[in-house]
Amino acid sequence: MIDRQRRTPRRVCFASPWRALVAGLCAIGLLGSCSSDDTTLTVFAASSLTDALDDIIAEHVAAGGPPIRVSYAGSSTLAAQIIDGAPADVFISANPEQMDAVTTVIDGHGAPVTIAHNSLVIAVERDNPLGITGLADLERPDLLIAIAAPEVPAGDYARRALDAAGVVFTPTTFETDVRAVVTRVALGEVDAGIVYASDIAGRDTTDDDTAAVAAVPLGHPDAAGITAEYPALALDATNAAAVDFVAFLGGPIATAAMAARGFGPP
Amino acid sequence: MTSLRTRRRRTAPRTPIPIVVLAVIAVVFFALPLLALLQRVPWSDVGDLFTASAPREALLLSLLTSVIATTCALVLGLPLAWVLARTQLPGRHVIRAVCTLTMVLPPVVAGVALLAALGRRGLIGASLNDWFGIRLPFTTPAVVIAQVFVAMPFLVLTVESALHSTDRTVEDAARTLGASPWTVIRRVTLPAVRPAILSGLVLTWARALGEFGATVTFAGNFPGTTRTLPVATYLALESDVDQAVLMSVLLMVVSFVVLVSMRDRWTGAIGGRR
Amino acid sequence: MSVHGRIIVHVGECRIDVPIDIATGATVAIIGPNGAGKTTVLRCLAGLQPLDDGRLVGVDGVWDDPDAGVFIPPQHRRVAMMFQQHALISHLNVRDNVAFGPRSRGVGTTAADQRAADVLARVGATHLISRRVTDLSGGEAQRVALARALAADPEVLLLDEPLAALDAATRPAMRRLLAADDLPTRMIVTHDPIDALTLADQIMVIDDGVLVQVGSPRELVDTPRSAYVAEILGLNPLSGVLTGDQLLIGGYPLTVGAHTVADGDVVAVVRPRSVSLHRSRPEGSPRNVWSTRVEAIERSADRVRVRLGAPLPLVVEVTEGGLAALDVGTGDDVWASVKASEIAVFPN
Repeated sequence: MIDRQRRTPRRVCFASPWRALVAGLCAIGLLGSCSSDDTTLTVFAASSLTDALDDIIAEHVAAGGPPIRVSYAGSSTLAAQIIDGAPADVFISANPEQMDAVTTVIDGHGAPVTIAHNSLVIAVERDNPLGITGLADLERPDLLIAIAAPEVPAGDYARRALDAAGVVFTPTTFETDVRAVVTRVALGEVDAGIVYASDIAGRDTTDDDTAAVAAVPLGHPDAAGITAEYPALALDATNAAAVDFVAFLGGPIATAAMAARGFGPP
Repeated sequence: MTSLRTRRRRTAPRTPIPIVVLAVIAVVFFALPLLALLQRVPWSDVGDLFTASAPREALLLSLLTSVIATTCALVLGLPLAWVLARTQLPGRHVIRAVCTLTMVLPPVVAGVALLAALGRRGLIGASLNDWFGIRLPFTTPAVVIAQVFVAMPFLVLTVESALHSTDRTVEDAARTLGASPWTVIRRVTLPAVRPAILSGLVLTWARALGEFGATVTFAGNFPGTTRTLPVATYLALESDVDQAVLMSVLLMVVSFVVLVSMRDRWTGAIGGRR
Repeated sequence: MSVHGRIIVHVGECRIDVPIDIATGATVAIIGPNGAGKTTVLRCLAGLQPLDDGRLVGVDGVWDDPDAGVFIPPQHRRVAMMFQQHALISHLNVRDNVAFGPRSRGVGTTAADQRAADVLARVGATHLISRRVTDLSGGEAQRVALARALAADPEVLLLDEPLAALDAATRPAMRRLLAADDLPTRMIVTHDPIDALTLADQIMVIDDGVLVQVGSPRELVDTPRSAYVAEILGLNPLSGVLTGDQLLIGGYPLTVGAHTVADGDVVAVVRPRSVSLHRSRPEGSPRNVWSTRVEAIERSADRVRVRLGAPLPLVVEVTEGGLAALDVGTGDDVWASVKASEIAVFPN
């Protein structure tokens, strides 16, 4: 039984058997009921990678790679499923902590490789009508601001950035995931939010509300240093296709695809 | 000569075995996950649960908003049920469908609809904000609004159904005896549908208490103001599973106590039979 | 004071057009087949059904006049209605039910309860005063319903099939209550001709939404204006061909007494009590004698009705003792006779 840590602000979700069992069963059921094609690669990836990873997979398949099926979810959920035995071939986490949880239990191929970074930006409405230039502006009392809840990685990074910049304010709402923060700003329900750069830059331009959101840099050197880190790992060293894919993820084509979606280099 | 029998006579018809078996399976289906949840509770930490402000705050907010929401549902839902059941209003069926749609819509969709209407850029919300400075999202009233939006249909439908099956002859008799329409409602009709109103209230309250999707979408999530117990539990799953289990069990126990104390007074949803 | 006017309503596909003329203190029975519109007439008088046309003038003024745009709702008419299924308020006890009328009109609780006690005594139901409605038998409930209607002190009492749901044992008691002299103007809808004939001063026969005949019980029995009226009153109407004083009914000859009807197609009415039954061929004066078979024997608390088969299908009313003396059962042969003077003929 793995030790459980109690109630630190950002708590890693270790194996609580009941939850992982249910999640694992679902994952197994979902994946197992799909095609029995053994060559299909199963990738578990953090949800903030959604559009970017789809692009990379398209590139990989075009270059002759095997078909790939991706399961996007919160990193802690994915880690729990993998630990319980979900048949994932590759794991890409939004923070190193969840990857550490997995590697404690599973011997993957070598060490995890960081394939991208994601900086934080302030999301504002297109044309920035309130003239927000940086984190310090968020202290204005009349502003409605949304950040992700501290329990999710994006919220934790945002809190750390605010602490680093010495900026203090009371957010209006803590969203349950970072994309919801973007939506709040896009809908005009809040004036600003702290999100990943990829959440704004990487969105498909066909989305109606993309044009409604713009990114403003944090404007503080200490805060700008807080970035999300994405380690990737092939979970089965004997699976050549998985190892190959992870190598591809670290390669120039993947990096370029990430950059096109607003991610920073590895 | 019949011998004396001390064995009890079976006088009630025997329930067929297949029914018993399926019923047992149904009970196990419900009981098993709930018991499993109880089994996961870190009982040594239960004390912390009540000293930690977050779960207590969330629970109090949930109880407060769900009770207010149920009251609002009663005030608005009873007249609506009356109009649907007792008038010949054209388009009644369309109105009924519109008013009960939120019962089948995914709650998040309901939340988005509320934003579209009452959000800062919403159909009405924009005017409220610009002219009166009233902003609804991210406030506790928004939680109540979201809960009423998704839970009121339960009250409307149970009461409307009961109103359909009341005995009109008794009401006719009352009218000929000199009762004004309001007296008939007060002394004849409403008492007759009291069981249905009660069951509708319980269902509405339970739905409001457990409401998550519409609440978090429309009202957001802020401790003490808009973080209800379901929202707090969902977020706790991301980081502190024990906390999530404790809060889940808390919600479960509160609901369980209320439902048990109602006994079977609230199950007469249709027809108001006691 | 009285109620008069004309009721014209469209209910579903039926059109009801019935003139109303009720004298104060009278008891009027409305009789007719199901769906004829009897209950609708009552509901119009009560104000539960508005008129489409026509006019109703009640004891204290115009009740309903569509042309003039006047409609007095039920609670403002001095009428009370009794229903087939008592229609008592089930969550109130007997006292509160009976006091409901006075309380609804603003009478204080004490005075209303006193009135309830008085009226319950009048109908012999004092012992029921604290009972729950669900604990009452059918007969007790109807008694309470009558008390409740009377407690409201109506000018007109409307009764919709008040005896239909009662069993044969309780019906006589209720009938006696309804026949009391000190009741207000009554209008009773019934499907039982005997109730109509015994309780009412005036009978209205309604069929298919129209008034077929109205008159005292004597008038209707003596001179039913149509075969339908005769039938509804339980008289035996038979179609036949009259030639002089010979009546051919289905080919079987009967001799009729003095009459003023022309030859041709006629309806002959033979009252159930006019026919005698015998074990063997009777001697004596009756000129019409025939052998027939007992098809059915219907017993109710009041009477025994024997249905005869071919050649003359008739219903004969005998006493229980008479039937016992006959010692016949269903399917047995029997002799029937009727005096020529007891056969009434009408043009068809």
